[in-house]
Amino acid sequence: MNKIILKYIIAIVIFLPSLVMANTVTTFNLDIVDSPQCFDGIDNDGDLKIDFPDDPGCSSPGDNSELDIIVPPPTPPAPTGGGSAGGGGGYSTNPITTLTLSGFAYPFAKITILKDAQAMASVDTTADGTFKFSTEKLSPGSYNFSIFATDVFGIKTSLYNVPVTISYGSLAQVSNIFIAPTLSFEKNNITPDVSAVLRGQSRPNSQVVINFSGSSEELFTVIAGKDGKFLYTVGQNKLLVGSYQAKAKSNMQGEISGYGNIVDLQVEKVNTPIINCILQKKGDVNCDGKINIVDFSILAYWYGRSNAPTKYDLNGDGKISLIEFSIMAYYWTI
Amino acid sequence: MKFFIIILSVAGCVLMNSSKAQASEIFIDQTKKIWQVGIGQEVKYDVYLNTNGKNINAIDGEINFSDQNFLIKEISDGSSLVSLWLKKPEININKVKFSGLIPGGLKSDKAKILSLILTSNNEGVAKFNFTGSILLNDGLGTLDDLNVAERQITFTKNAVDLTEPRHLEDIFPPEDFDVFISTDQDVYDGQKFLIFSTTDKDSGLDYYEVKEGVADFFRASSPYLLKNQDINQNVIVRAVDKHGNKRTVTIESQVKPYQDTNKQAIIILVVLIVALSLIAVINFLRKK
Repeated sequence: MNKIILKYIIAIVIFLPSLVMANTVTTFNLDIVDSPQCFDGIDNDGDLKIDFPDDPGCSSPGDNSELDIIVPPPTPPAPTGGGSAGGGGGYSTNPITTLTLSGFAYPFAKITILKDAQAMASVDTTADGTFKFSTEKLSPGSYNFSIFATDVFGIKTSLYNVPVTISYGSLAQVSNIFIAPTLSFEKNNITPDVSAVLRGQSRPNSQVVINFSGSSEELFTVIAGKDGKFLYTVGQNKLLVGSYQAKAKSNMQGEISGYGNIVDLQVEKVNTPIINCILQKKGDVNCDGKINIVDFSILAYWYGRSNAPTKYDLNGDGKISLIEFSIMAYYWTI
Repeated sequence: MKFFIIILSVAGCVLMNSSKAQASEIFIDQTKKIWQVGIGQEVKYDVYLNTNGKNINAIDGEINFSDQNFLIKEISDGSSLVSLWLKKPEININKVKFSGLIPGGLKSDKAKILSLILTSNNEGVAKFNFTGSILLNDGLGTLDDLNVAERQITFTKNAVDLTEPRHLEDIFPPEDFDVFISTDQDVYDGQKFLIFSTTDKDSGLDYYEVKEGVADFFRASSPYLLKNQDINQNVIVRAVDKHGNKRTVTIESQVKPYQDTNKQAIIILVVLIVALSLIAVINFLRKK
């Protein structure tokens, strides 16, 4: 009996880390260097005076010490003649509020950064898939920065969100951002006698785990090449008529990304052309290939109104509710 | 034997708890933990969301309050992590209602939604409770559990004076934003409309104004149906925060310079043809 229990314990000890790992997503690192003492609104040295220019210990807003400097009495001038040195000099400019975002995507991808759901900037990744972006054009406050990548095939991945609160003059560094892989079906609409081909791009040489679901759920694994590209084929006649979905995440030596966007596949007896763009991109209500504030605004126009066109009813429940907006927010790009 | 059973039970509990997600929660907080407020004082309370480890992207909330003796002097969305308001927070008979979106989702144990600035002229206890709906960022709009939370704030004569100045330091205008001109057959019967949205990080966004051509600024909201559908004059959209700081975006007239030049050229050509024709007719008559 004890042996059986011991086996259970050993099994739990062995599988516990893997169970935890299966749901663990590598998170970003956030380092914030606070504002200089002479610009933080706090009486750091307890002399009841706060910041530059009120606190005599502050020589400029960028001075990081409010401690008062005891100035020695001036020494009498030397008896010998000569010119005096020029003094003065202006104050340094106000401390700069800086944000840096860095991490990993795929080689030669375009990284787009959104600030509170609207486009702010874009940068390209290097050959090894890394990226870095820095800005000083920010007001102090709380922001929701979102990052997505567009791969070499033009496929966009899901948003990676970073909520950051920045104080005046602080330096916020967000590193180790791990962008989920892109994924798309070569054809979204096939017949059973045709293979379903999935492709995308991931961090170079990473393991890509594809979650494929239809009537049941299966996991496929593929290794991305040096260029980050990967391909997976579900052979012909292996899929029955019906609807399927797939999503992918990357694993790079134990660092795991979140899942990317869900992509849809329809297997039908007879191939029917897709005439409604919404079938391809949920939330793209104006069919311009983007899911952004324009789509939000069009949907918001119909929110609470009767007789909304059925194409805006993204979940088919017969009304435009918060659920439609949630679906749109999930697929948001710009 | 008992020892092993205890270990198994503990391990089982650990596994179960790790997989069971807790409900999200809306709560009120105050940096100085002031729950007793002096009569006539104004105190700012921030309302936060704890997603309890889940990734959410839409919120529909309601703050109900019980006591008629206090006033919500102001509601601010400054530094809110809600990126787009579907329904901006506003008071509606003992309730503050709001709904908004966080595209891409949010996972946080303390995400700011809005701030309330309260005051009272009478002693009493104000009770708040928070309800609403939270939707997961899963592409399906799955409804998540939301715990109902309560908070009491007592207004009393004996509280320490904690009145704080509001927004005196807000020197920053609202954030940069884009203005889109759009048309859709299902919106405003296919006519052109403007779309805009921004946030303010300190005092919060107050309102938008639009100016078309030489007309005056007037308050507007997005989507905004353009009066001048030709857009042959500049359109200015202005976001104003609660401290009066402004951020302005100008949409240039859609009439391109060459169109005007072409018009002028055609007019000159017509005048020339008429003049030459007249000269020709006069010469012809003289010869006769």
